[in-house]
Amino acid sequence: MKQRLLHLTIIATTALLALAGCGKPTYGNEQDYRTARGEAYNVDASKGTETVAPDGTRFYVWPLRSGEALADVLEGDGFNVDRSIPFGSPDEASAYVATVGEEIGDPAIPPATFLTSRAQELGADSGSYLANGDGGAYYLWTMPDGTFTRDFVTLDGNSYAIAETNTFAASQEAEDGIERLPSFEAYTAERSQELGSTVVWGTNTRSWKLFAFADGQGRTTVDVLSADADPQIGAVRRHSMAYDDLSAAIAGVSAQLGDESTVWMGASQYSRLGWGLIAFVLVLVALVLLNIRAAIGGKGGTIRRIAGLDQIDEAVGRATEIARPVLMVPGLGVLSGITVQALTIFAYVIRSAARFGTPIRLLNADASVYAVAQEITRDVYMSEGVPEAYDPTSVRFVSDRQFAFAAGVAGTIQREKVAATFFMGDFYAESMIFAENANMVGAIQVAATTQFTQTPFFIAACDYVLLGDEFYAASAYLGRQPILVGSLIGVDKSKMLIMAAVVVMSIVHSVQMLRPVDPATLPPETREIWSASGQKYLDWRKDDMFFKRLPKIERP
Amino acid sequence: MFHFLAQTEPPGTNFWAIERTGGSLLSQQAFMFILGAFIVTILLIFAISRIPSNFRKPITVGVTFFAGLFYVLEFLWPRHITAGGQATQSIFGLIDLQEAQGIVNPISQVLTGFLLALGVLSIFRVHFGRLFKKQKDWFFSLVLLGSLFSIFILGMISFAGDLSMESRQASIDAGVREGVAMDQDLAALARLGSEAQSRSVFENTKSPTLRAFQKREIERAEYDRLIQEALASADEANASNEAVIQAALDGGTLTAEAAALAKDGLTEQKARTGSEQAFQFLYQRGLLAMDAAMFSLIGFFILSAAYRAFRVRSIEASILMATALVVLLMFVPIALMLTSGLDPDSFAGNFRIDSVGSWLLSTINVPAIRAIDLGLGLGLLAMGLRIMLGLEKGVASE
Repeated sequence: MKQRLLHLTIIATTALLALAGCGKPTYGNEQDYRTARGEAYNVDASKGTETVAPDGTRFYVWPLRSGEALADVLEGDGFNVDRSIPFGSPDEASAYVATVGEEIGDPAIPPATFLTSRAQELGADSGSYLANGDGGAYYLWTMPDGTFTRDFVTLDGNSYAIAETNTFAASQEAEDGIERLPSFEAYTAERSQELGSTVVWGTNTRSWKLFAFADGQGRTTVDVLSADADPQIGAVRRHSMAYDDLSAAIAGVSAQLGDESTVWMGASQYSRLGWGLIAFVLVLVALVLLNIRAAIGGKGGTIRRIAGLDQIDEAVGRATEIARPVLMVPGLGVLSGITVQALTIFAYVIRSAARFGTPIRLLNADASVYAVAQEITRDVYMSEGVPEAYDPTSVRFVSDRQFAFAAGVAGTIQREKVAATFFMGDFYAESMIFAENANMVGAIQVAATTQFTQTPFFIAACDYVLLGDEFYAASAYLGRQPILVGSLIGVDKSKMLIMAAVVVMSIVHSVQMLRPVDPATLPPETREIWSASGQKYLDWRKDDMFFKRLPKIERP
Repeated sequence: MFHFLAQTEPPGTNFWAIERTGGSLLSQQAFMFILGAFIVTILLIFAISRIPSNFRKPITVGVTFFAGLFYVLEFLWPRHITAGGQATQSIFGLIDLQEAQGIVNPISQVLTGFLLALGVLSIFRVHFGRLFKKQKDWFFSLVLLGSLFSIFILGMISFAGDLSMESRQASIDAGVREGVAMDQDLAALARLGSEAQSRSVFENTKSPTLRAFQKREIERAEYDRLIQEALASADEANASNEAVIQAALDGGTLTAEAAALAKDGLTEQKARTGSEQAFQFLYQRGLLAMDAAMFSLIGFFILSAAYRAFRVRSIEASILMATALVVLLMFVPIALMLTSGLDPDSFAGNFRIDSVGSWLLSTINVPAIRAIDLGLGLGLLAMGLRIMLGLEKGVASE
């Protein structure tokens, strides 16, 4: 009881910590807020300026060292940050704040019903999103007379407006006329034209792309772009800086970037999920360790029957009867948790074989695994009191080349007509070569692999297969040591926790997806993406959730 | 530490880079480093083997724990995105985990290198034993050992050839900088390089032309014309290279263009040596071809395994059979025709073979695979914890 209470307390505390990590930051007063945000954004605490939008929403605009800006949206009168919106510059942020709360008229065609209502209006057979265009998206309709109608749709406020409609005889013609969104090459070409300059310098980093454009007079503009082009809107310019000449530009950029204290995004691995993920892993770790402790204290559980492992003794017994070797292969992997687990199972097999005096073959593709396997085999024979029965050539290194190894193992199977085979560990394309050769000589086969792409092959070709984590349960099953049994129970409890999380999160996510989205409430960047592909996005979300063709569009 | 502009990065501060600019793959310094590492490792292995076995376990567990801890910390320690990419904060100003990776990661590779020698010893033990005792199939052991030694010796000769070629190429580069005289030896090398260049000009046109002719995309006459053109452009390349060589000979000093040709000539010279050709023959015509042969067997094995697995003997096998059949038919055009009459936009469209197949793959197959993957991940997590904390009994600790 006490133990259980301890478990619950630890899980609850860690879960609360996780939730706290995921939650919105809250500060007691303005000074605390300024100090904490200043640290988070790596700027002076006095840099943030409070601005109130026309609808009364309070914003704090923080200019960043990169020239960009972040606007914190505060809840009510306190200092609880609801969300932060990124902008290219402080001016952009202020301009956005000035528009928040402005009246937006009733939608003419709300994005959510665009496909249905437009299909009815046109009397089209079917229609779908075609591509993104400059400031909008193309939709293509198949008409009953076999022609195609193409709409160019822009977002006006929070409703769709059809800017242009064309008719084509073939769908290819409709596609041909579309100007695709700019790639980086197209971006530089277009931007050169816009600035009347040419590209003189460019560089990539993991997070950014920089392009410098110089005009005839030596003035240089440096554009900072996101490293990855957005699939919806193409190249995304985050910031633009003007310099008097190219060397000033390079000096300016390197001075800014050479400053080691400039952190563009701190603790990036936590930026998306906060500390929640780490806390969740800690809960899993705690579950495993606590259950190991409980099992050492004598609170072990029972393990269900695993057919593949029950067969080990039978397979070795059969090999003894017909006086043929037992073959073991720990896969292609290097010495890791997976191969160690495979070797633990093999140690059990070797022990059985040593007792019966059955010959063994343990073939390796990795030199380090070979060295460990050799030691284990020798130890097992010693501990069984038959060191003289140990044959050093029974554990072999074959080759570290995949198909040379496959040929070596297949050759051994065929020449020695092995009676039982155990394939456990990392297997790839060679799995079928092993399993089918063993089948040809009539061997009993037990297999387990951590490569789920190979699991179906083993299921089709082998007699017994350990699925997924049964492979890791094997040592607990065979040895029944309290530590291993406890760890197995911990893993099972972790699985239950994850299953519960999957169910809860599915419900939460589904509810979120079904909630109608009002584009006016989105931050500007998202709104831009939304305007280009809002309908497509909504359709995807619905397709994801429902058996998609059930609601048939009625033709008028 | 992290330089944003490639242009401002100082030239190689790592010692491999310095040596390469010096003209040789491996310098004395590098050899000393390797030798030092070798001696230290041997001493370490010797020291560990002398420690009483009851002290050995705490050492193993301790080393394992800290090795594991390194990667855990490396994952968890805040990683900032700076203008130059990613940067980790150093721990108490002492260790930068990201930089330390460059030292920690190769340790396991070095150890594997030592263990490979044990692996080769195992091969010798099995196959020399079989050969000397004239056991069954001793001939195959002979073939294996013959292949092993020949590829090893030829590989080493090729490596030595690379070293000497690199150093000669570097001396040609140095010659250009110092303005050495252009002599007949250099001219002969440059002509060899020119020949190799014009051959590759010809081959670059010939291969696609031949492919197009074999696929009947072009007529015989067109093929002949294109080949003639390719020959002409190869001759042209040769002639312009010859002009470069002649100009350098007339001028009396080695020009950069002639030096480039001479360097190509060295590569060509190496490729023409008997040992290099034998090495390439064994590797390209032998090893790669046999690899491909083994790989191609898999197709037949899948067929025979599928035949056994899909025999309808139980309910499970029947479900497996039906599912496999639908997914197989999904990729066969003639099978798709069977249900092509069902309107894809209607309710009946849900029962088209392609719809059912995609549904099976995305709705049945993917969750099952994810569940297996999740179980494996959790199992590995528990296993890793046990090994790291020294709780694992058996293989990992003894």
